[in-house]
Amino acid sequence: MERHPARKYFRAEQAEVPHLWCSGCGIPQVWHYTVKAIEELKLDIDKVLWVGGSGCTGRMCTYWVGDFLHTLHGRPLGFATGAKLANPELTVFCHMGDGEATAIGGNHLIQTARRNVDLVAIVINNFNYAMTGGQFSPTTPLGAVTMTSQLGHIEYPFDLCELVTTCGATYVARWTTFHARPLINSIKKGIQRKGFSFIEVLSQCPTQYGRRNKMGDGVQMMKWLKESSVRRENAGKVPEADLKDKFLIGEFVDIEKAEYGASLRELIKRRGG
Amino acid sequence: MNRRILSGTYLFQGDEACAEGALAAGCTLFAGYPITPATEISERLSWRLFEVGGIFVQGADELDSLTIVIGAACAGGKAMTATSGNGICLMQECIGYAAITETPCVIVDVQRAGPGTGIATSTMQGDVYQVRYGSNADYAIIALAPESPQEMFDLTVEAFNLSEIYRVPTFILADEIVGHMRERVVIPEEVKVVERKKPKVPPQEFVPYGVESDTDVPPMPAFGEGYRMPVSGLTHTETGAPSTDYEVQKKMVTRLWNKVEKRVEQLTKIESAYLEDAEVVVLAYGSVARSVKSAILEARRQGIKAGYLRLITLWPFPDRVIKDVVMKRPKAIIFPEMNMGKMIREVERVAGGKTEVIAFPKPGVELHKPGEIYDLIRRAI
Amino acid sequence: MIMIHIDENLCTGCSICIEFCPKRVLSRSTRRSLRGVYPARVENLAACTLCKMCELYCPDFAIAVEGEKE
Repeated sequence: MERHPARKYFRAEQAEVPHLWCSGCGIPQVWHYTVKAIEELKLDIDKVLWVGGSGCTGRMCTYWVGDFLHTLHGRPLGFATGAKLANPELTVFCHMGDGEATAIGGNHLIQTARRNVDLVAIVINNFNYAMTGGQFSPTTPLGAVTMTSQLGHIEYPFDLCELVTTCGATYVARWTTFHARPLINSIKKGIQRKGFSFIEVLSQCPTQYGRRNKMGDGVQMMKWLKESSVRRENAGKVPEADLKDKFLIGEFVDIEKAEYGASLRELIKRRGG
Repeated sequence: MNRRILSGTYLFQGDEACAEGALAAGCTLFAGYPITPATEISERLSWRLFEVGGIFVQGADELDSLTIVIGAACAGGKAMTATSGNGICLMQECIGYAAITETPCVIVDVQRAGPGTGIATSTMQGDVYQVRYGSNADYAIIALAPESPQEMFDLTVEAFNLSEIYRVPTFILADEIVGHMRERVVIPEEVKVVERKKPKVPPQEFVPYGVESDTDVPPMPAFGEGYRMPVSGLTHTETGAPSTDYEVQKKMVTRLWNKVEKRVEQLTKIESAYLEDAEVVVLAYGSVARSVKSAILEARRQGIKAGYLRLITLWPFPDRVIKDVVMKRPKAIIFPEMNMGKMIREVERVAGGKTEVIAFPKPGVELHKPGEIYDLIRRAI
Repeated sequence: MIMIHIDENLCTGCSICIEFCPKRVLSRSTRRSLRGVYPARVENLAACTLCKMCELYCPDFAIAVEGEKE
């Protein structure tokens, strides 16, 4: 029986078959897209480090066949920065959930972006804390129902791409689990460029967020993601009133700036170390 | 100025000596956040590290700093951070993480008056339990308490070596007096540096946390060396797979505990004098020891049989050393501490009521005066 | 010669492959698998163009497409 091509990158000793994510979840899709980007660029697996925190997205790194660093909730970017500085040859991925990256991990996110640390940060935004049962996060839309906003959410969400852009990130993109091919291309770009590459992936969470807000199963939510997305190049063609319920997707920032590790190593040269 | 070992004789501040100790021990990365009275360690390393090919990072906070240190250590670096008590509070989750992932790292705590924000510029010895038991659940760490800038150098080197051997977060429990005072520091020509054990077998045969006995420390490959290391804060088996099984939890926690606690004999470092015929024994650690020594000398001059024992290794706590003192049945053991009485609880535990243990708590700001200790000795005789 | 393999031990019946196949090659089985779900099955192999969207999208890594276009 021919195996799915992603399986060769999947850790054997992690017990669940094949993984712990729910049926129809977007996270294993992004796992596959990441692995495809690595494969298409023919990276040396022994030099690719996946870093993750806690939560559903945080577990992605534990299935990667190569080196992985499964860290504390909200903090993978800090650990990833340390690892990258100690060994600049590593290609470092940091997969984070929305709550992880923007609530508990908010400070790490803005600092790592500002410093322009060379790594690929992928935030899978499924609009809630899924692993713990579906509580609201800083990206949960106003009015949404979650386990801790059962009367309808009263907080305003972040626009992650705008947030990270303001912090000085040098590559910012947003896609959805539906937009597999452009997402893979963004990941490849992130790998190849030097600097902080931030990719937000909007994802279905049929078991928690989707169920509480009556959005259907994985298929229906992916259709919703497809229909709700507007390429930023096309935003001008959509009436203003319709735009507010849509997600703008595409590449928002792609600039060159001195990279953190490179600048630090420059100081070594300067002091004769 | 490109030497790692800055051999020579200097008038160094304790914090400066600590920084030089780190460099001599082979530190490749330091990440820290400014906090009185440890800031000078960061400041010195912010230029010295680059001279020896290392990297200095100012973290966004103490917690950020320790995450960077741990990440760097897992990727093969020798990393350190420095802070005070309030910073250690913020680092606790990471300390537990370093313990369960068995990541070597050095954490310097230049203790200051607390609790809370306390008095940034004043001394205290209040964190002695925090570094041992501050994180969640059970693990073991090593903590050394310097009493001088010279020991800030020597013990920082020692801390790096111990953390590499035992793969545990290793603490330097200094205090504001030791951190900020200036004294003669001699840095030798050569310094003994220990490198972490690497696997002797190729990746296919390597078991990430495989050991022979429950006091063993597994070898530690770095990321990027082809060993495809599984590093996670979840309870894990020898292969690094997460588990919810009791036997796995028991085995893992027991080994994390035993690898340090059962090695207490090798780890114990003390300084003592006049114990053979002592009728009163005074214990101390850190800067309090300096006053104690003066008091003991005065006592002996007055014909009082006073003995002195300084704990340099605070954790794992050297039960046997205290037991030896207790067995000689002195009239009293006096233990001045700059806190409400913390390490004295360990002494009371070991003494088991067989000897009177007299506390002399001074909760920060003011160091015990030699005269105060001498008076206590007199009254105890 | 195109072959589509569906591993019924892995498929959780999410139907994403069925829905997003542009050629309606796949459909939902009417028979439950040992996992207790209705897995995907190949309905119309002749229509397959080897686009591999099913493989790309499958969250369970349960479907593999191999072969060459004639």
